[in-house]
Amino acid sequence: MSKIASGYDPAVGPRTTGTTTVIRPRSSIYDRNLHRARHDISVSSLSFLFMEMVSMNLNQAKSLIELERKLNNLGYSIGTKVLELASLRENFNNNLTSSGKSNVSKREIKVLDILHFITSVIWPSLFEKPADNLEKSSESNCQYMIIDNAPVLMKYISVPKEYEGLNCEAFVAGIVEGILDSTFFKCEVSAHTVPVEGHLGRTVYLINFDEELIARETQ
Amino acid sequence: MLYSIYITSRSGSLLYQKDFKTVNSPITKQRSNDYLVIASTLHGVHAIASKLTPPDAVHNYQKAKTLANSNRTGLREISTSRFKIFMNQTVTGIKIIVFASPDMDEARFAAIYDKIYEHYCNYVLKNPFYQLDMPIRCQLFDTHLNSVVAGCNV
Repeated sequence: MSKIASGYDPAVGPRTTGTTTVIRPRSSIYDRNLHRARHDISVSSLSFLFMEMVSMNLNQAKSLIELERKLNNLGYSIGTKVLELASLRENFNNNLTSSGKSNVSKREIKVLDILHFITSVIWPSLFEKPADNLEKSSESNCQYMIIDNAPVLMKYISVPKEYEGLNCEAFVAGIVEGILDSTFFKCEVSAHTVPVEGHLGRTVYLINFDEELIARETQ
Repeated sequence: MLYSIYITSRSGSLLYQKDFKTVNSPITKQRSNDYLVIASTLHGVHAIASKLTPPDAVHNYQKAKTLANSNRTGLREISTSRFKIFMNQTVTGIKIIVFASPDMDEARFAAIYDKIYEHYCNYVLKNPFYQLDMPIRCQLFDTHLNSVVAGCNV
């Protein structure tokens, strides 16, 4: 067989360049089905990962407030992404149960609706359980509270006395803030430990909505 | 009945010590320095005992190629008329030492040891505020240890 010259030969015209090797694409995360009926990961490895996140930021931060802010920022970037994925998966689930085939995600525009979406859809997709309670603050119109009696990430963590007031759940508060911000609910979220009898790790995620937003809501 | 629990580091320093209040416990309260002495003495005795292991056992031990700090060699139990001391070593050399009443046997200790070890792994090692080889001060570890002891001391 003659050697195939490179480039276009006008005497021959267009031709194929020898044999082509079939490149098999390696299977990536994009090839997998988005819908998963059940998805389990080890709480143990999650705890180790979260432990490293906290201790790394603990070493870098100069104050506890800075540490909480760093954790909050980490969660924020996750929140913006997890919203998209969770609503897409939720949509799949709806399509499986009902005959109506619609792939259009509904975007929640009311404060209560989006908060309900977070406690009943986002929470199970992250922690395999819904949040325990959703409350409205009696003091302020702008404040809502999501309550988790036993946060998964705090399962093995006991905060020592010298770090009193620190709550590592600032990370989850960041996730909530990321979700609300990307759905155009301007707010600030902070996590507070409020222990009750039987639930020592009970955490309240305090959501402080922008006043303009509440005004928009009441129109 | 469990009287007290000690946890020592690989180098023999005391990481955790707790006495439990039980009826007619022979264990009396010591000064905090004495607890350190007890722990490091037991650590030393364990090291000496592992050198005194009969040649047959050493041979079996080498054949099994187990880790150097496994419990094939060394001290496992001290019996007295009023109490027993059990000790067991983890793969990283942490020692869990239990003071118990004379009616405690090795099988029951093994079950208790497993639980203590599990709680140590969960509530101490997964805690971002705990540094290795430092004294253990974790509230959750305390509460879970108490429930283990309460289950034994009924």
